[in-house]
Amino acid sequence: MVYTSRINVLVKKIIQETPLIKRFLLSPINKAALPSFSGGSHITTFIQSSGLNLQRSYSLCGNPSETQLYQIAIKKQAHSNGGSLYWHNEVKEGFKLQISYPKNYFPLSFKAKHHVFFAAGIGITPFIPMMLDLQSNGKSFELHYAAKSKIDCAFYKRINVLFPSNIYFYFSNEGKRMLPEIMQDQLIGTHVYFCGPQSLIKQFTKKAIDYGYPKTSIHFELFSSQPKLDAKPFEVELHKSGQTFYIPKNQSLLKVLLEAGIKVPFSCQVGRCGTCAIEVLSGEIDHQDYFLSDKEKKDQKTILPCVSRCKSSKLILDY
Amino acid sequence: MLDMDHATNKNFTFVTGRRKYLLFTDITGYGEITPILSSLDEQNLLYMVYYFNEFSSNHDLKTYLSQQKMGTYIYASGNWNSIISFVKTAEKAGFTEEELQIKGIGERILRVFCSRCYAINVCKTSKEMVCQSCGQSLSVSNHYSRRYDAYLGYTILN
Ligand code: FES
Repeated sequence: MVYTSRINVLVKKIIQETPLIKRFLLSPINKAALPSFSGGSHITTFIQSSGLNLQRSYSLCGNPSETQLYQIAIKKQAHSNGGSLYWHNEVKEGFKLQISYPKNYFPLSFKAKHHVFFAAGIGITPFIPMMLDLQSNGKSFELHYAAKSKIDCAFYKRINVLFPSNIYFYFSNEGKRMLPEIMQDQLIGTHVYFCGPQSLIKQFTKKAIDYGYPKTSIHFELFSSQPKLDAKPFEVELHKSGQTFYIPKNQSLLKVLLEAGIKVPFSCQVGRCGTCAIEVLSGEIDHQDYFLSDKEKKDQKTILPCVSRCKSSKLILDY
Repeated sequence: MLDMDHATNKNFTFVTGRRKYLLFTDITGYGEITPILSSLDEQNLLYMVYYFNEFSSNHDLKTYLSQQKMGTYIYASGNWNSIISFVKTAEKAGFTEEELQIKGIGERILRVFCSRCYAINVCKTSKEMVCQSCGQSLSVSNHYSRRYDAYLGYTILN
């Protein structure tokens, strides 16, 4: 992590939004107000208790102008590696924790004439403050939101109340699907935003490019990087210290380095922010990030170890 | 306004993967778009060609451009005055630098912001100039300010 100062907060209220999603209202401790934030921002939460050290990033889903409370919504994941289960099972009202200052890797385009949001499931969270921002500035937008059913649709009522028009729901139990064709006939000046599983982001991004959207008009937010299915193990050598490491197929290079006590700065852990970048001296990088440009990827000089791997058998890092 | 240097290509490059192409030109610029026309014909792509003066006002042009769908790409060539006015209108309609290429013909009039007295100078293409307001020698940079619609003129220290 890039260790910036943290804010002490307390869980003021917990609201069960859907059978699997809880909303947590966080209020500041010893502080009059929380920093204001822009739509699309997230915070990292730090929980340390009985040997547990959890760091998880969540989009802020409340009103950006509200500085007495931050709101995050967390879905209980079936294959959680601790984060969502802990939040759901252990965190109660009155629980104290630390959070980072808000950061925004998913900002609204200030050039867009019209914003089209595509959310799947818990992917709705960043869009609520984004739409509130746009609404208060009189800007044009529409939301397309897919969920399993009305019951599983977080913020269903709130969204209907806050945004009376241009909101479209797609419930799969009613046989409705959110399709990328919605992007096809959008007028010039449209920017599209995707938030949901990686498969949806890939599918919608590809379609948007096929329709002729410039890459700069396509925005997306990843909550977690999906492990590469065909990932292979590889070896890494640190040029300065001469240390070598084995990176198993189910672990990221970043994780292996951090566990070995090597203080690589990091933040998003999904290949979006570029914080963890390390120079590469030799070896063929298997880029899996969404941060480096096509040219930088082709140059094969920089790796983002939180997600990227190695095509050859060994990488030598300038570290 | 869009950064002209960013959007200006020495020679047009043919951009594939768009659904529709709009070509805007005048007598002076027509020669520049002919290679693009050939590529579009060869690849059997959808396009339309317009002369700038076919639109009776910028308002009509903006209305037309605003009705275009995402995936539309513009090539525009002609005298600089027409190009500058066209680009301003295209931007208002929602087109970005990634959705158009321009080629100005002839002499270009630049707006240059004096970093000493903050006056905006109007001059012809040049590397150096003297600020008409304070007399400072300026080097015309390629730092373009959308806010001032002008290039930054750095003071030259003698
Ligand atoms: S931590 Fe953000 S790109 Fe690796």
